[in-house]
Amino acid sequence: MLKPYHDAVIRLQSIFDSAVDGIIIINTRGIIEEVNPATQKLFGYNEDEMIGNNVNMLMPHQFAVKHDEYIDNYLSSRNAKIIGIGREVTGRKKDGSEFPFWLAVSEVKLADRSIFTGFVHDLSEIKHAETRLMTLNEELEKKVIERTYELENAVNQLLSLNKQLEDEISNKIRIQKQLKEREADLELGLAKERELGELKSRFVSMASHEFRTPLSTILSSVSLIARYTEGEQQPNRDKHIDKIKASVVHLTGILNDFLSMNKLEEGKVDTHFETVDVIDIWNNVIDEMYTILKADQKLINTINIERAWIISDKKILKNIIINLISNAIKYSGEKGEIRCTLDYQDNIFTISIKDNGMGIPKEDQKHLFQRFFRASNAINIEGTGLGLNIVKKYVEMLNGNITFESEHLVGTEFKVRLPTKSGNTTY
Amino acid sequence: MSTKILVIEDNIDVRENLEELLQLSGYKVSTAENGKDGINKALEVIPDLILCDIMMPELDGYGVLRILSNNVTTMNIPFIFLTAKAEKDDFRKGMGLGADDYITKPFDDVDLLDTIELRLKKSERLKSSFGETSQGLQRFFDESKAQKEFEKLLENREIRRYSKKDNI
Repeated sequence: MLKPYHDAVIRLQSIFDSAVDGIIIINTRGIIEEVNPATQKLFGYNEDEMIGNNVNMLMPHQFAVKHDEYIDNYLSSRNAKIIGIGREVTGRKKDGSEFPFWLAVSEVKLADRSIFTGFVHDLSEIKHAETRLMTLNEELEKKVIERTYELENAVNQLLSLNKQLEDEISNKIRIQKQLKEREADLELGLAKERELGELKSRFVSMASHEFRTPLSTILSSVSLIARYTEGEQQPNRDKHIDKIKASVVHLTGILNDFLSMNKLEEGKVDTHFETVDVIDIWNNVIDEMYTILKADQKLINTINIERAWIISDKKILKNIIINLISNAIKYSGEKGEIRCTLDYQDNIFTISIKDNGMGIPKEDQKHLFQRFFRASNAINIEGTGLGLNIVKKYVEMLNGNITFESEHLVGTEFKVRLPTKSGNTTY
Repeated sequence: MSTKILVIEDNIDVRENLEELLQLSGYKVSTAENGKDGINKALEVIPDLILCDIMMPELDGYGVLRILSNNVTTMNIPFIFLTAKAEKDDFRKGMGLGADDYITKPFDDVDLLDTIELRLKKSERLKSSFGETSQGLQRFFDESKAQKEFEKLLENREIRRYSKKDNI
């Protein structure tokens, strides 16, 4: 009977001694009755230092003070908080350091009393590994954040670079546009300059001819008067005096054209609008024109008109008609026909002056109303190149328009259309 | 036989005054009112001197000079431009075409008459160097024609260009 019991004790003792986990046996008052070697190793106390002392020596202060209470609570209420369940708790070593372990407690009922056995399974390594894992995890997360941040930075840099490039491109486009605008300005300036240059050369060649010819007449007539020294030569002198007068009138005419042009250019011509009898003015002008017709030239006057009143400027209207008819006479040969027609329809008067003269070459037609311009076939005919320029401006002042049709060597027709109320109607 | 002068001028006042002035100075005057008419008159009367405007309808003074200097009977007639074209370039062009003198408008009567007289004297000297005999006249015509032919030869001559490699 003794031998099997003895064997069991030895077996249990060896388990107790060689267990890796600590085993602590306490009584119901919390006093340590037995510890195994693993416990000594875990807590750093030797057996003698622990046995007989309250188990709370192995706990951090905040748990130690309440341990007795826990036991009493359990014994009176039988409400288990650890017993049979196990829990992670903190231990306190002899050197004061703390460590986590898994505590499994069970109640052992002996014949006369109860004891409690506690199994202490060190969690330091696991905790350490857990902490390391967590640190690693944290580091990893940090790295991820860092990388994300770097990536974000890179993306932002790219975006800002992109924006810079876009800005540069739009800048370049703007500069190009400005350059183009400047180029256009320059071209416009150049064209104006060229036009002015052309105008100047046209003026010089016109002025040269148009002034020098009447001046020649004056000078030579004066020379001739000087040669007629006899009293009975008075008719000769008179003839030359008339020539000088006529030349002066001619020069004054040119001068007046200049002044009119200048005034028109500067907008200094005043208009005086009143109710005007068109037929009256028309016939007056036609009568004047008969006197300057060349030999065998015919003037055919046609008035297809019922209404004769127009609100207009008398002087300007007269000037327009005189200019156009005298042009027709000037640029038509002897035996030419000048057809002057006055029409009225839908509140618009139409003046038509048609000749069968030399005509205007096609290539010159677009320049016809320019100052000092002379058609290529009229260069050797006297004239300032101002008449039509002035006429056009006059017509515009009356809110009318002027057009022409011409064929070289066949003839030309000028048409002026004037609204009955020149003063305030535009069309 | 008095000296004949042809006046070609489109402006009637200037033309009449020139005619009067020259007549008073003892010249026999013909007039034409444009270039075309001027050519006909020149060939018709064979004047001793031509006074010609430049800017005229039908045919301008340059054209008149060109045509008359290509005609054997008129090529040696002293030719004077009387013109409103007073620019240096115009003067160069007129003289370049072979005019004997160039007077700008408005002109002084004394200057004009002096110039005409000078040109007539020079022309006279040229003529007398060929002699007044019919033989001399014939020689004058022959030389004129020869010169004319020579000029034609010059004009018609094709200019051949040789490169370095060509064997001539």
